[in-house]
Amino acid sequence: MQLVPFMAWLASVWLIAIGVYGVLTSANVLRMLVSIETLFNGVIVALLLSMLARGSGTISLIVDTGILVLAAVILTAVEVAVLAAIILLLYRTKQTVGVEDLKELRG
Amino acid sequence: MSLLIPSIEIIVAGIALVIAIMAGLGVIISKRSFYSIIWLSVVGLAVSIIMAILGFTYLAVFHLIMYIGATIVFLLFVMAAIGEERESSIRHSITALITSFFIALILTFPIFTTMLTGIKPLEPIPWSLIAEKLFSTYWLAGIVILVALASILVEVIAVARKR
Repeated sequence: MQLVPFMAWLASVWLIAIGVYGVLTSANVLRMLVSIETLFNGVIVALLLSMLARGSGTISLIVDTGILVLAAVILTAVEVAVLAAIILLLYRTKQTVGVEDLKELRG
Repeated sequence: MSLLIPSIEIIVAGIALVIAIMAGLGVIISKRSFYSIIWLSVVGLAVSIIMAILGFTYLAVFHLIMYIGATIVFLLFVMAAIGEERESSIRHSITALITSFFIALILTFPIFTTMLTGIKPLEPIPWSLIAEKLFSTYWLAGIVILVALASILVEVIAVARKR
């Protein structure tokens, strides 16, 4: 096994684990969003690695996955912007961004 | 003797791995959300280095510009708008830690088994081919991305006007 892909795989595992841990233990919506972004970084590396492992030598598949990752990064920026607006709105209404306080928003 | 010296790719990949590990720790250990977001930008930097080492230089540059340049700034803006929380917002738990590593290993195990068979080095990808595919085959994805970016613009104006 080559060392560089293995290191990338280790980084991917670490970032996914840290992201999931952050989501499980955060008591604040903003911290949860930061953890989700860490998880996203790990998943992007995993996606590139899986493409390299399965599609070695297939230039078409490599380009396709590159475009998929490109779209994913842009859509993440969109997702963060939407969540940022929701968090700001939440803070204006409730004066807090705690996860526990969100329960009170139920109808 | 020269066989004992690792190649430059291995050294850079090792540095990126160490940065990713330390920055990942920083994201969850930091007591203040501001530092957590700063560590997230370092994670993005490490991921960019890994992308470049794997052969996706165009994705690495794009990730630096779009992710660190836009996403992190969005998060810092929200942080500045709502202020710092008074108490620590992470409740550390060993069960959650074990569960998260278990989930991460399960999710990435198929990639690991495929990697055992060996990965061929990536050939240089012509940028013109990417542009051609993006505008001929994936034009619908391009439109969706444009609409999504336009919706951000509308949303940001709405938030700024307190609607």
